[in-house]
Amino acid sequence: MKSEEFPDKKFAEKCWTHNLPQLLDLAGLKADFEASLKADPDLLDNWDAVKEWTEESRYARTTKAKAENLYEAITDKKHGVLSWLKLHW
Amino acid sequence: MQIKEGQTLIERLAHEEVAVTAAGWVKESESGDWYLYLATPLVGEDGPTRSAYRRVNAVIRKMQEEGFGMDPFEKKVIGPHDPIARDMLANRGGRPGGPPTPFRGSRLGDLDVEEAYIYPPLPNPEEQAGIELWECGRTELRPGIGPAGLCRVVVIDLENQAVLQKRTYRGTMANPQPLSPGQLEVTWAEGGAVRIIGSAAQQRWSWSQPRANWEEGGCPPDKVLHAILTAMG
Repeated sequence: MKSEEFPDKKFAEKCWTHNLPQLLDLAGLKADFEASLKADPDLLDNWDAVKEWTEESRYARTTKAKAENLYEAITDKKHGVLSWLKLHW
Repeated sequence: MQIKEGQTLIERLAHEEVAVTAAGWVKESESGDWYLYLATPLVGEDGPTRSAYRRVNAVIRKMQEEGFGMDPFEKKVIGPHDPIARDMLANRGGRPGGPPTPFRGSRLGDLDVEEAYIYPPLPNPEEQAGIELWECGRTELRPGIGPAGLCRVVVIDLENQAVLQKRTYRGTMANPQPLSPGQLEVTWAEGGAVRIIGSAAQQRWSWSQPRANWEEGGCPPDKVLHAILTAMG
């Protein structure tokens, strides 16, 4: 899709979600991501921790250890989920 | 949802000494996605999950090298104290090691669920021995069929671990032969019972497959079980 185009309405509605596995699929990244998970076991461990996040869990009280666990899983420079996503921007 | 793969994974985790206190396939209402929820003490109370995933994923990777086909995306680990785990425990049924039972409710803990299938506990060693004994008889399981069911009987030599005689009957066995010393008579009944009678006194054991328990005599000694399993191939 070109940046100046209006997005397809149905597709845009599907993207109206916080569900991370679903967003990965909609972005057309699922196959690439699965290949990366097979090649990088640490990325899979991190993804598993990240995919537990929900828009509701952000309001829940949590432990420091659990919060750090999520933060590290996202931001780890070599195997973090954000590091992988940045390669596909 | 992969019922059989889920069962295989739970059994393998136990074999690899990863305790799973409750497990089930859950279709989350919000996403519509199925996940295999695994409750394990690897996740402490309110603790992080990454180390637990590391351990579980290591087992899955080993299994994948052997041809295991479950999508590694489709699992979530939770602690045994998680309300979802507690609800799975409270709602699980069925015989140990058997198929998962459907969950009739709409919530597990705080999670809205569309559907769920909760696995029964894994069998303990004595129950596992009974299940293997039943399976080695290769008899169709028809609980409740009673005396109309087919019975398969074999006489086994305990020392040589070999089948000496085999026959089938319905109702009552005609012309039962006395056992010689060192022989075992094993009967598989379609209703789900396995009876073992030895030539010596006190050598009577009975396993119920539908109830998954030893109903008479407790679990037989290893020598007896091993002889039967070997003889039946």
